[in-house]
Amino acid sequence: MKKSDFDFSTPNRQSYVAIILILFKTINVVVRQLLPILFVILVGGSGKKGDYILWLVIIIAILTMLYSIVNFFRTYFMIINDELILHTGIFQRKKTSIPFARIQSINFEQNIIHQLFSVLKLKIDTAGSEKSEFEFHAIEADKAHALRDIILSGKTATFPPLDADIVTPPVPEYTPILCLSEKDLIKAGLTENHIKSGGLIFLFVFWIYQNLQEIGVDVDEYSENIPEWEAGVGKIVSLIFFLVCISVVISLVRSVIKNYDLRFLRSSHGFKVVSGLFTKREVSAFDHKIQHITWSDNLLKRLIGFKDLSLYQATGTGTGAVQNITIPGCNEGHIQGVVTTLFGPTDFDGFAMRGIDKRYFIRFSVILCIIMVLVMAANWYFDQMQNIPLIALVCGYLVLSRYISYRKKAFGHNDHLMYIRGGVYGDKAEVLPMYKIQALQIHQSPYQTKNLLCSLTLFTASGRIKIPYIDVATGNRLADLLIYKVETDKRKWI
Amino acid sequence: MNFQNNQITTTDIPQAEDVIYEKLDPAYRKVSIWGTSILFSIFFIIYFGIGWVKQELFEFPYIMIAMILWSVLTGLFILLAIKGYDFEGFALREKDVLYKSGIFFRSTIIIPFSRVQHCEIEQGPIDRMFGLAELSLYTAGGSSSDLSIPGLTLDKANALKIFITNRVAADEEE
Repeated sequence: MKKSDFDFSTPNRQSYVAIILILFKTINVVVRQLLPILFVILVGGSGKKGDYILWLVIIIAILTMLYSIVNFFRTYFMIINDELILHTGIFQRKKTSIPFARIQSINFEQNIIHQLFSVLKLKIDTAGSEKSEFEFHAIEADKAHALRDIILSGKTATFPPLDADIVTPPVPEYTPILCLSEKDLIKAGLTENHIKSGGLIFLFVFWIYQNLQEIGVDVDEYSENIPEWEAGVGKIVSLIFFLVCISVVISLVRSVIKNYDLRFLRSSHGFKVVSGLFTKREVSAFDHKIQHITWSDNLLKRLIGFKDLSLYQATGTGTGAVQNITIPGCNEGHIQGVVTTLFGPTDFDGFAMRGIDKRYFIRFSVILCIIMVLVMAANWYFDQMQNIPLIALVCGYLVLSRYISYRKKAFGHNDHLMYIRGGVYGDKAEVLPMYKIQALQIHQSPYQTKNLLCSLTLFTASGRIKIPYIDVATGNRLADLLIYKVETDKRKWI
Repeated sequence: MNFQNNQITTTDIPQAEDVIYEKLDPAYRKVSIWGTSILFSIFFIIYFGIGWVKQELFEFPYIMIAMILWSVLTGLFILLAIKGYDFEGFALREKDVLYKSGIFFRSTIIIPFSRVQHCEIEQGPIDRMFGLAELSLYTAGGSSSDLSIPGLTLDKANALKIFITNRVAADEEE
C-alpha cells in the first residue's frame, strides 16, 4: 500500500459503489416500512388505508434516494496542509475543514455489498462540539486505508501535501490480544443474556400485533377462532421450554453475527476490534480517549470463566455522545493485560474495599413492601385473589435482587484509580482513572440527611458512576481526595 | 526540571465542607417567587381556557377541588421558593467552583476549572427585571454535570465569567 497511489491534494469523490449502496439502503427502508403492510396483504385483509401508506412510503423513499444520489455527486474531499477538507451540500454549498489534530478516530465498516466491491464505509469522529461525525458511504479499501494512515501519521509528523510520495508514514502495527475461535464464539453466544432475547421476541410479536391493529385487522377476532386449550402443567412446561429454546437460538444467532471472527488488537497507542459476519466492523480506541473500563459476567458466563470487557471512550465533546467497545469472551488474563497496558500494573485484590450502608437495602425493601401490601389489599378488596401470589413473588424477587446488589456493591481506590464493584446475578467491575473525572456531585435525600448518609456521583466524559448510600464523612473525604487528584494531575483527560 | 512530588497526608487535602458559601443576590428570592407565581398563573389560565370549552370544569365539585389544589400547591411552591434561597450558595476556590442547593434533596456539585469546557451567561425576562443573570458552566460529563449559578448581578456574573475563563486558560498553559 503506497501513499503515492492516491492523490489527495485534488478533490476526490467517493467510490461509485456508493450509488449502489444508496439504492440498497432505500430498498431496505421501503421493505422495512412495508413489512407490516405486506404481512397484512398476505393475510388477506387489504384496505384503502394500506394503499395510501404504501405510496407515501415509496414516494418519500424515492425522493430521499434522489437527494442522496445528487448529494453523492456534490461531495468531495481532499487534504490540504494537514487538514481534511470536505465539500458538501446540494443547494447551499458547504466547506468543512477538519484539522488532523482534531480527528479523534477513524472507523471502518463493511457489509456484504461493501465486501463484494472491496470498499469501506468510513466514519470520522472529531472533538468538535457541534457536528462531531462525518460519514462516507463507500471508499475503495486501499484508498481508505491510505487516507487513515495519512491522517493518523499527520497527527504526529508534518506532511507536505505536494511531495506526498517522499513521506512514508509508519504503518501502525497490531499485535493480537484476543482472537475469538469458533468454539469460543459459540460459547459466548450460548451464555448471552437470554432473558433479553426473550424480551426482544415479545416486543417483535407485540409490534406486529400493533401494526396489524392499526391497519385494521382485528387480531382478537382471529384468535377467538383458535380452540380454547386447557392449561395443563405439561403444556405450560413445554411452552416455557419452547420459549427458552427460541431465546437461546436468537441470542446465539445475534452474537454470532456480531462477533464472528472477532479480533481484539493492540497497536502502539490504542486498541482495535474487528468483527462481524455480514457487516465487518472495525472500531479503534486510543488509550488517551478511553475514559473508563468495565467488565462483567452473568451466572452462565461465570461457569466458563468468560467476561465481557467494555472500553468507554468520549466522542464529540459536549454532545454527550458515548462510544464504547465491548469484547465478549475475555478471561481474567486478558483483562489484567488491558488494565496493565492502560493503567500500569494493578493488583485489585490489594485494594481496601468498602461496602455501602445497609439502609440502601432496608429503605428500598420497606418502601417496596408497603406499596406491594397496598396493591395486594386492593386486589383482595376487588376479589382478585389469584394475583396475590404473583405480586408476592415479584416483591420477593425485587427484594432479593436489591439485597444481592447491596452485598456486592463495594468501592475502593489506590493513588490513581477508582475501583467499583457491583452487579446482581453477575459480577460487574468498573475502573476509572481519577484524573478523568469531569465533575463530582454529593447528594442527600431527606432520609439520607437524617441518617448521615450521602450518594456520590462521579461524572466522566463517558458516563456517570454512582456510589450510593455511603457515610457522609466517607463521601466527603472521597470527594475531596478525587477533586484533589483531578486538580493536581496535569495530564490531558482526552 | 522543577519536578515536585511531595507527599500529602490525607489531613492536608482541602476539605469541601470547610468552604464558606456565598449567598446569591437577595433579589433572587423575588425572582424565584415571581417565576413560581407566573408558572401557577399560567396553570390557572389554562384551566379557565379549557373550562371555556368544557363547561363542566366550572361546576360544583370540580371547581372546588381544582381551586383548593391550586391554592395549596401555589402556596407550597412559593414557600419553597422563599426557603430555597437560604439553601443555595456557591463558592470559588483556587482550583474549582462549588454550588450547593436543595432544601430536602441536597446536592453539592464540584467542578474543577480545568474541566470547564465553556461558560455562558443567561438572562431571562424575570432576571432582567431585577438586573440579575445566571452563569452556566459546561463540562464534558453530560448535561447533568453542568453547573448553573443563578441570582448573580450582571456585573458579578461577568466578573465571574472572566475569572473562570482566565483560570481555565491558565490551567491549560501549565
